[in-house]
Amino acid sequence: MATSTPVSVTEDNQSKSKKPSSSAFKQQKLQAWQPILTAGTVLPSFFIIGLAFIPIGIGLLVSSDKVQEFQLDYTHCKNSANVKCAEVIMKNISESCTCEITFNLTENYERNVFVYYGLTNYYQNHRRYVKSRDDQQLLGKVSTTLSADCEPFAYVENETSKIPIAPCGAIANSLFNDTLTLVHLEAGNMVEVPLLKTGIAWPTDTNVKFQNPPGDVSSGEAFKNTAKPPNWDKPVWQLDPTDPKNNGYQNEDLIVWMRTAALPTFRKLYRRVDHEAKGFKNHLPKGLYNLTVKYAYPVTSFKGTKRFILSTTTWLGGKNPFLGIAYIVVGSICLILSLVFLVIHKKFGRSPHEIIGNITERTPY
Amino acid sequence: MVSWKKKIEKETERKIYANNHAYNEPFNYANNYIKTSKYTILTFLPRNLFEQFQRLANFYFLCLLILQLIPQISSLTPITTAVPLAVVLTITALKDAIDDIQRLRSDNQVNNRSSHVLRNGKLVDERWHKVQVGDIIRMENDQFVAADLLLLSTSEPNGLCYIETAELDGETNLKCKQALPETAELMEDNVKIGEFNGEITCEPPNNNLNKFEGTLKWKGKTYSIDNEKMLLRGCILRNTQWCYGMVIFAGCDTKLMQNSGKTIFKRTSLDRLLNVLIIGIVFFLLSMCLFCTIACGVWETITGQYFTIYLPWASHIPEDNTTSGATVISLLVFFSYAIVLNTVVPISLYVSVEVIRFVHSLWINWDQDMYYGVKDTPAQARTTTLNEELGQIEYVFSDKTGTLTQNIMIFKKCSVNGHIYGEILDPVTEEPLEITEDMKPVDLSGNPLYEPKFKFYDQTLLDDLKSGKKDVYEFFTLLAICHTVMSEYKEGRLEYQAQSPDEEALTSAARNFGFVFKNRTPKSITIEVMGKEQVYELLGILDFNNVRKRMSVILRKDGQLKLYCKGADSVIFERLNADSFDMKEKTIDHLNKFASEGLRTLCLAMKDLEEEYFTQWKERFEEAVTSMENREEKVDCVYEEIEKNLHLIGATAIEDKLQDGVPQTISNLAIGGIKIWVLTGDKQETAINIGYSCQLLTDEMVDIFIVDGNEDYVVRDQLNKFQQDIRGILCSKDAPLNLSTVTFTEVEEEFGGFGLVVNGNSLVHALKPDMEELFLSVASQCKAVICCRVTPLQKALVVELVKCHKKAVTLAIGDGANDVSMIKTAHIGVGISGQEGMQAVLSSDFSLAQFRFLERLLLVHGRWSYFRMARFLRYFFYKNFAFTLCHFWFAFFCGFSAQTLFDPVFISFYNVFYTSLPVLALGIFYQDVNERNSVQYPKLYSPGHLNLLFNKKEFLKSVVNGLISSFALFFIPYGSFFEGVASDGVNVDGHQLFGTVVSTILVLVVTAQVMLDTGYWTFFNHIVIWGSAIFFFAMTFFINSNFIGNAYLGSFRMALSLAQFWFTAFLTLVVLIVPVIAIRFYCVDKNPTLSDKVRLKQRNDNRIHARRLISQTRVSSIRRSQRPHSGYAFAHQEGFGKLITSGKIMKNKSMPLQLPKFTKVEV
Repeated sequence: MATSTPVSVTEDNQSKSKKPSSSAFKQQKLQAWQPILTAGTVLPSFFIIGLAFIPIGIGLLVSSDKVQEFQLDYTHCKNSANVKCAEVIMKNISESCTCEITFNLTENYERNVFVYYGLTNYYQNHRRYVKSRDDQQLLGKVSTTLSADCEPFAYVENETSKIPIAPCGAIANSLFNDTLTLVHLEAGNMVEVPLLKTGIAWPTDTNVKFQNPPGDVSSGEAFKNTAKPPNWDKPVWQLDPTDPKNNGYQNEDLIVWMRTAALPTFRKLYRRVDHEAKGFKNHLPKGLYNLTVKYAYPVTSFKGTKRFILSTTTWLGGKNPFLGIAYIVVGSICLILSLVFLVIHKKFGRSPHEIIGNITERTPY
Repeated sequence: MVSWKKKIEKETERKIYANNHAYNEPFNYANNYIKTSKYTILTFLPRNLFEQFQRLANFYFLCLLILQLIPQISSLTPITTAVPLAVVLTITALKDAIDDIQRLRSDNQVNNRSSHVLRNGKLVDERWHKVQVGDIIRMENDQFVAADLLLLSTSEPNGLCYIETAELDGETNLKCKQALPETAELMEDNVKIGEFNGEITCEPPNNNLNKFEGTLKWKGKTYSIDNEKMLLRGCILRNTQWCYGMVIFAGCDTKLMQNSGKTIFKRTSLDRLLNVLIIGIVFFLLSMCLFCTIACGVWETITGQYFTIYLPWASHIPEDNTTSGATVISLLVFFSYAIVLNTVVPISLYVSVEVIRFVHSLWINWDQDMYYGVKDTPAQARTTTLNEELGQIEYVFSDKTGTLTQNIMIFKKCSVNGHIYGEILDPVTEEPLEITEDMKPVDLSGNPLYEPKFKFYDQTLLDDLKSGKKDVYEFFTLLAICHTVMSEYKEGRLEYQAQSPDEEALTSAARNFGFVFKNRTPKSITIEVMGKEQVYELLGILDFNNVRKRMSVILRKDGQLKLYCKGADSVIFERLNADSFDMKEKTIDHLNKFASEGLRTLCLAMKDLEEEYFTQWKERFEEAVTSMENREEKVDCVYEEIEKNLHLIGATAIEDKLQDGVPQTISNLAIGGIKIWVLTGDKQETAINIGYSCQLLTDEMVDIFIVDGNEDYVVRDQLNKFQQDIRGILCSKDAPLNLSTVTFTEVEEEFGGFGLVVNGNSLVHALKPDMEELFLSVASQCKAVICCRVTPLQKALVVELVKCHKKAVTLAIGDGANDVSMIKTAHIGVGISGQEGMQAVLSSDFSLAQFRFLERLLLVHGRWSYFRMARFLRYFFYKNFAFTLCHFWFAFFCGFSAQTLFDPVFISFYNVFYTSLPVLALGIFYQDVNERNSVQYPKLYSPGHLNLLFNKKEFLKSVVNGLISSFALFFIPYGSFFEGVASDGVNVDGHQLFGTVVSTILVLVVTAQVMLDTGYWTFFNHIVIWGSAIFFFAMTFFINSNFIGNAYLGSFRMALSLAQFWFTAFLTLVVLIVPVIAIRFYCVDKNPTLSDKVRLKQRNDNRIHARRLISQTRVSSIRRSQRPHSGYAFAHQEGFGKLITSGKIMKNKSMPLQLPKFTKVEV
């Protein structure tokens, strides 16, 4: 009424009908596909799903079985004085304690072999833990103010100033710092298994998410005016004394640790076996091995455990029979369902013609 | 000043001096400025926000937002709530702003209308909003009345003026108002009127349109003022050249504005259910939070306090005591989880529901099949929030006149001197034929004043008239003379203004047969008979009233006195002279015949009078008129004396024409389980007639009960008796079964059921609190209920009764002002548009041009709306539960720390961008069966009645589905990614990766689910479904790209590159979708619903491409009832009779008849 726009005024001159347009859209007569669940479509598809899933499941199970894996829980390992290292460091965290554990690999581990450490009951996914980092800092941006989430591991305060911790936050501070070395006992010879410290993190992490600040890393210039996290015994630019590139925020051990785990039980890639080295070409030979652990990381107080893991991989990753079993189970259920429905349909179902023939305007809903 | 004005308590009395601003000013009466808009630019933001936050959902999210701003609690960035909330608030605010701007524009338009105001004895043009109380305004013909005025003087004699009150009460006939004789003398003299200094004392502003009390003190005398002297704002001056009036109430004090108060905000039952569900969900949320709180306390005590070596407690947690520390942490976690899990209460729910309803309204507005070409009126959804309730209507309350019928009376048949006219007999069989379009009507064009639209098919009537049969001559003379019709010349054409359409039909029938009523003065009636003008001296009009049920005129022509009388058969037959006996018998036969065809009948009679007798009678009449006590009764007695010994001329039969398609619509709606009650102001007989002709009552009905008692106990007895009759009949039909409602509905299918007719007087008693239950229980067992002689208020009461006691959804449909109350009361009000009165449409929720469109509105649009909304809601809750509860499962593994599983960006986008459009498209486009089949199989409508498609049970099913889905969504990836590594050895058991995996599979699963639910894939569905999925992938890639640098960078790429991921995704999809398909298939296969069956049939029909029209199984034409329903109607009100004879209504100059001279030249 009162809202006549200029447009409608000009239209007034023509014979303006209020008749709605007859477009298929406005009349709700758009072409449409109306799928209907019928026995003809449902039963065969269930059957096909069942048929397909069982072999897939078997395939998955086989490939999971191909994975060779060795796990060793060293939480309560003892040092040469036959004292549990866990107890030693509980008394004094800075006291060094070393365990040596001998184990036997009964078969050759085909390449590539990876070394993992596994933790349990360790809550890397706790809300306050997850957020306790400063991604800007890890990107190499220098700033004197850090994300408040890093508290209480943000600054080291002395009388005069607050020095930012690099890298800040609870995650970095709790970096796993046991040192694991592996020696192969071969006919009386002790050959240290060559382990690679790089290539263990996600490429996107090493290339994008973790960057060192400008300046020289190896001299620590890039990290001047920063403090090391309280739990660490060396600053961030000295994490890997052997490889200057593997230092600072781009140290791969740090990067792996910083990618927090989803569950309280997790493993982290520690080292790769160097299959270029002599004697380890194509496999990790079977036989006796000696694992030396420089035990520094306390977990027993919160009933955590630590494991040493050797594992190979397939195209499907590590050892995990879950998918294979699940596929077989689901496939079987689908097969059974299709049979059950076939029986039901034969017994109760009616043919479309029967159904269509029987409807009248008074057929109840 | 303003604050003082506010403090004024309610006005108790109003005192105004005319033309005296100085006196009137201090009272601060409202001026004529009206403001219906709510906001100004400054107040818009605060007021609108305040209003929006009064809505529970918005307030809830505001609280959440505030919680999220507290860093100790916040488990999610505030953006996750702020973004959707801002979107929701903006959309609503925009809508409100647009509405308000429209109101402002219309306010401005009204406020800036100009009027002539008398200032210092001179007429000044003034805008409406500057008009003050006490001003005197001059108005001209066809102008809107600017304020509530006291009429002072007019151009017409005796200070009369005519107004049209369509905007006030919807009635289109002219009403007559009269100024005080003393003020009427002021005439047009601006100086005198400018000096008018009357003092008015009157009632305070109120909303009673029919009452006004006040006094005028002027020149030392006091006059009383009543409603007859008031012109109300909103009326239009008609047939009056000018008038003067003094402003009594202006602006918001006017009766129009006082009446246009609050419109009742209607909510659908779904809205109420949603509110209950939301409250339930909130409790569910709180209990989850409580669980997490307790679990968190336990975890902190068992593990957390020792884990502090790596994750010390925050600084605000007391560290000295582990118990109190754990307690504080867990209490805070309560709020953190409230934030994390808040998405179970879907913020976009209300907005999506509004959007869907809005589009459903557009479908209604755009529907060509509900467009009425004759009046160029499309259907209109005036309220956009009630659509799905159209699919649940159980009771339809319909007005009769103008709704079921066209309110067009057509002179169909007549009986003159025992001979019936108007029937066309088959030349061979002598059986009456049905009149069809291609029959040739009688050629009446020999008469220059004939109306082409008038059609009569029986040539014999014209032949008998031409051959000079005296009775036929008298018959038409009576029709041309005995009425209270006024004639008018519009553009040279003669037109009639009648009180009732019946009268108009009769007068116009006479006109077309050459007895043209041309003009009347208080003392004479001029008619033109066969081209010759005749003037009758009018001696008296014995007007109609409800008791007399007849009217007579007394005339003198050529010295001969005659009385013509027309009225209901019963009253006429009592007053006939002896020689009419034979004819009376025949006429009664004819009347029965007419009535059985649903025609409205009137009897006509006349007598000659002696001059002497008349003079004596006239004296007695004068005496009666002037008597102070029981005047009306005495007058009626005197009338009675003269209306005796009448000679019967014949009877007329008028068809009260039904609107097109009414019977089909009613019978189809009835099959759909919709009960139709007709509430009409008509007489019982008329109502029953119409009931039969529109198939509401049928001959198959076992019995039709009529409640017509005037006393409380009579009504109660009748109802009790009917109750027992119903029981008895049902038991005999169905003896071994228990008489539960279920069996009843089944039995009902087999036989005709019952009809109930209730009279207005009886309804008064039946609606009393102690009887309404009984009444309702009888009425609800009847297939059809007709209430006749009901007042507008009773209409509303009946609707209210059903609404409250039956817990059923009601719809009221009507066209007139008297239907407004019922339209407003019912859950859904439908107004018939395209009529002149707008009142019903203005207060309605939907407007249709024709009653028959109701079928389509309910069975197609309503049904679809309900189905769509139900599907939409079931899916909507499912997807939110599937999404949110993943966090809950994750809580068990993250120490109940309120860590989210998903990327916060994903959380804020999930509901708004990734999953909203497919389900919106579903809610907008879904059709289970097409429109044709929806109408063809009305039983498809019944799920709405039983609330089958969305109720608490369906909601729980959705929730359980969501729960199971979230469980599978969490634990299947848990199984496959536990300590997972990629083929190159790197870890893939990270939190970010896991969240990404679950969220991606979640999007895939809910999209697959919506694909299953989308049973109707239009082009748009394809676009939004595939589009949403693609958009999710593209958007996630983009957000996690190197430039944007989201915290989750890398996870998505890694996830997609993993074989485990794809196997997991496929497995999860199958695990979640196959059971859904299995269950649905089981239901369809074992117990297919009618909808399933029709869908199958529909596909079959499409497949064989046999697009032959489905044979019309339903009743093709109106079955005329063969049972005679004796009923004689005389729909007439007490009319203008008095005004005519007193001469008040006559114009001073009678216009000569002007005929267009060159009619042939015109096309």
